[in-house]
Amino acid sequence: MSSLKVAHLVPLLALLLGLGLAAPAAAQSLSPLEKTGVTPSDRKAFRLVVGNPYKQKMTFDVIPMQPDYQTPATGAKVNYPRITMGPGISRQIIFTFDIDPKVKERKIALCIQPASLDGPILPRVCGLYVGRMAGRGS
Amino acid sequence: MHAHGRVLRLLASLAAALAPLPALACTLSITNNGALGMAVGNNTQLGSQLGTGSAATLTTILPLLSGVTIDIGAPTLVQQPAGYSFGTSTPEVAYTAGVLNLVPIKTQPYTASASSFPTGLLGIVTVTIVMQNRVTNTAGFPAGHYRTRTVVTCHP
Repeated sequence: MSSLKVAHLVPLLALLLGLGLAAPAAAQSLSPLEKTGVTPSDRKAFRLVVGNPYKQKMTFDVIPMQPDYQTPATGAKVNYPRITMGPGISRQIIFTFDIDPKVKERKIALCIQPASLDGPILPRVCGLYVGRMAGRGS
Repeated sequence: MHAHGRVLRLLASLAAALAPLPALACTLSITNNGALGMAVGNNTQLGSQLGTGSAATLTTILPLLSGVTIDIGAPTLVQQPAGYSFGTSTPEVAYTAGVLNLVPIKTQPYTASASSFPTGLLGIVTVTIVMQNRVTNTAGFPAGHYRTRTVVTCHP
């Protein structure tokens, strides 16, 4: 009976291994996609990773957005608003945004998209980030 | 029972080994841009399923246990020749999304509106989206280059 169960688990093991190999860390476009952090001041920064999944050198625009992913956000900046990377290369970026001291919390998005893509599809990967001022309470 | 327990421990170790993967990430890449074509004898519609047209294909790669939402924006016509009449011009998009091109997640018939779908959480690593575009205009299409634009967004 045990050997039968083991036999059933072998394909699961193989599937898990396959899934792990199918998710190369170097190929991600944006990671993490969600993050929340506390700051002692009225400004919060997150360190994120942008990657180039394409087989050629690509330039990406890194754009702070409102949480609707449509409206550009003010009071936010990235250290590399336009970033060029070779195939399979990932780079760290710093995303910084202001928090209104009256509200003490801000949710903001950051979107990565190819800078000059003439094709009919514009692929974007957007993350959602929350900064909270310390002492806001829960 | 012991063998079963060992395999479960092995599974747990394997899951721990995979833990360095980001908790949430998304890779979105185009594998085929697609093209618009025109049916012979019908000058009122351009489409990726007409004439020499072809579908666009995108691939989303997700780590284990990472569910995201894919938004497919309303398509727009971004390139057309001079003299084109926008009067009744209606760009539309249709798509099918599936895991490894095998297990369907969503089938969206032609629509002029934005739509979205969640990828789900478990075991989904590669989501393939096959997208069709078409533009209908009763005023017809003068000779020239046409291009549609659809924004595809992967987000939490």
